[in-house]
Amino acid sequence: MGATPQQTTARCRSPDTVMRLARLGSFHQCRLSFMRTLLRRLREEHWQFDRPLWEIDDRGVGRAVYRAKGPRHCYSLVAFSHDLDPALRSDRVIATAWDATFALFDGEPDDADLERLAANVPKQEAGRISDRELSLSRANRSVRLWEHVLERLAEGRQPDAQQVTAVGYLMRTTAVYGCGKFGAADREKYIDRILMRGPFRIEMLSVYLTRAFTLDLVEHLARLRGGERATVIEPRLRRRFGVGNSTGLGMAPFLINHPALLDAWIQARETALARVRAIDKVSPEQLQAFRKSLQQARLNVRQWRTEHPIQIEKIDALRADLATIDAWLEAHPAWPGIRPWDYLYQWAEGALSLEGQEQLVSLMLEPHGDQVDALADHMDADEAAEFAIDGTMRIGELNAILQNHYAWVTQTDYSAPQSMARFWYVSEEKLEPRLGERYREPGAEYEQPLAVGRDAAAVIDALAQWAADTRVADFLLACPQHRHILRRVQMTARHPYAEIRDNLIDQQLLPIDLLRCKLSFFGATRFDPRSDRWIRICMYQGAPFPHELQDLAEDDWSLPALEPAP
Amino acid sequence: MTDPSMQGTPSGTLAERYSLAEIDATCRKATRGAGYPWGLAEEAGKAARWLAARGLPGPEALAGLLTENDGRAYADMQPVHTASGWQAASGRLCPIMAGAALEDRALDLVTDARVYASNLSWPLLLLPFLAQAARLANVGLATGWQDLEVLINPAGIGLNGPRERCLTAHTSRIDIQTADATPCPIPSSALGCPVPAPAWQILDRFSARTYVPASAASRLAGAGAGIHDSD
Repeated sequence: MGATPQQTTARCRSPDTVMRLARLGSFHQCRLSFMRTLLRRLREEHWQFDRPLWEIDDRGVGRAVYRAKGPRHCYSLVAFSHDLDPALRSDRVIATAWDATFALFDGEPDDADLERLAANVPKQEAGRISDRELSLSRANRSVRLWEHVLERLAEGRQPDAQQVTAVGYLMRTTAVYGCGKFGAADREKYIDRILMRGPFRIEMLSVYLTRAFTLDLVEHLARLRGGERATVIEPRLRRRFGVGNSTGLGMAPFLINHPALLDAWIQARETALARVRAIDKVSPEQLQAFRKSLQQARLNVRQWRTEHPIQIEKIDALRADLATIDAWLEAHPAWPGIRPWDYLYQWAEGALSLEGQEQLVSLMLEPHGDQVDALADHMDADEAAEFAIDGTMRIGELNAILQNHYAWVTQTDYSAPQSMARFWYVSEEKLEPRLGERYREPGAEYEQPLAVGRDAAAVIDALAQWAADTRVADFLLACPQHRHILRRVQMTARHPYAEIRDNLIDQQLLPIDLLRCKLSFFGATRFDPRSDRWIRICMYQGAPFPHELQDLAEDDWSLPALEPAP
Repeated sequence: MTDPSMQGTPSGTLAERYSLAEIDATCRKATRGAGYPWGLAEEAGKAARWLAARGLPGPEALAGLLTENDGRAYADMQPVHTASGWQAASGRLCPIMAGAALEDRALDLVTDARVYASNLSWPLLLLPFLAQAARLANVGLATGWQDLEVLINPAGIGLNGPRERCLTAHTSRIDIQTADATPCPIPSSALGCPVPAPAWQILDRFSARTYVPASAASRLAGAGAGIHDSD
């Protein structure tokens, strides 16, 4: 991996510090988040956007195509807009009908493609797509805000800015399937393209174009309803609309199933932090940029709404933390001095909650795009190359890796019921990952291999019987049940941030921590848990729309603007 | 099925195109469903995917293998290395287990120069492991069964002989030797692969064993239902 820590003098934080659920579940978006890196790349390569097809009737039913043209490739979001019976509107993955459905097409679809997609995309999981399609997704309206905006625009008035900020979006996506799902193109088809070198580029592009569609649709319907009187949304207020996302357990196992990729993400962010902490002197402009980001973060936390008790507590702590940082800066006129970020970070470790510490990490990266942004090119992983087991390794070396990287598993007693309380399985009903109660529900014999800590503890136990000079190949021939965990252990020796160092089947597990970590790398904001295993977020709030991308300032949208909207 | 990618295979049965990711995932789950541990199931998924990417009937061979080995205990199937080569503790040798064992010992292929396996099921499924072993050991290999000749080097794999031998269900002996092999490698494609419906149905049936039926309680707990989500 190219994110070379030796280029810094400060050290990356230890995996034992970073890879804990409570901390991962406190991550915030930063300069390396995938939405931001996508928009920077689209801007840098001067991508052009248009809407070659728009056939939507006055009930909002029809189809549209959004086209993104780059220097070498072209992608088209094909959108189908439906008249959904409100009784069927559900964000849960078990839903079977949606307000809008989408596919991201590789190139420009012809009429036959559109007909084929019209027969399949509205059915989502029940349809089939082809290797011409890169993703499949759907979205539902936020009924409250949709009606408000439509009514106001039809009357020729602007929507209420506070309502827009509070809800944040007109539509919520509830699943974005890529990477070969339901017949879509495999990643190998496009991974060599420059725009696609980065995780979740397809999905981020699809959602970015979906956001444009939602705004166009509401303005279109307002025009049909209000006629001459109708208006469109003022551009600055319009940018306050993001696109929502509602995510459940389906996403949770991803980080565990992609250890080398997780390592690449964390490695990039930790390297960024280490580089910034190693900076000796900051310029007045950089300092000013940091102070501005801090104020924007304070505004962001004021606008952040949730009803979930855990998140309310975390937001309260974050609000207090940001005030504490402000007060600390006031009280320390000698700061920045030498190595200001390292100084500030070390203070924060003792003074702030995990939410506050991780928010500060993101804020410290903001003024230093020159040190940070290029690390985004190293956030992919060649997982196929990581797959092979080294059968020639001796058990002695394996034991050393286990001692180095899996000491945390020995802190849990896996014979205790609370340590084994949960099990991950795939539901027959929706083929989605679920979390079961081992001692109360059937199905634990079909458990998914996500109980990393328990499995590592078991292999440590088993290896105690084996001589140190035995080859791994011989151990695995006798004990094939340890093959899965052994592959992970060998991978973790090469990728120290590959493993979440917590018990993923514990009674106290909060799956939303896994969701939050992944979604923060996407660049999501406004995390709003609806339970311990289901979360709503906002994406692209504040971002320029495709037609504005070249004209507005680069990458300054991810925190709310300080000047009031009109 | 309405997908236009439906097409006839040489045997005349209908086949739908599946992405390599779908083939990998379904074959992995099916192998687990047939009773293999997860680590070997992962190997089976990757092996079927590797074959499918080269247009070779990996998923069909796996469907045959799993049907044959359904419920067999590992103690019976465990590959054993004897003076006369690799064989199963009893009965036929599983190519996934034997393949993993050979790959884990890739460097032994160089020192031993010649390896045998006897009473082997579905020899096609051994090839992805040999290809990986050839890469790990940086060596060329020659093998084959019946009148099919297989040449492998770190750059790829070439087959000489009738393609229908790919679906040979059993061979009494297979001989693998290091060779100065320069195959004309079968190109790999990222565009997925058609899988005949009967084979896919078998894989689906085995996969389904790893799914857990929903209960009212699990639905409620599953993703936080019961909370108003249409506002």
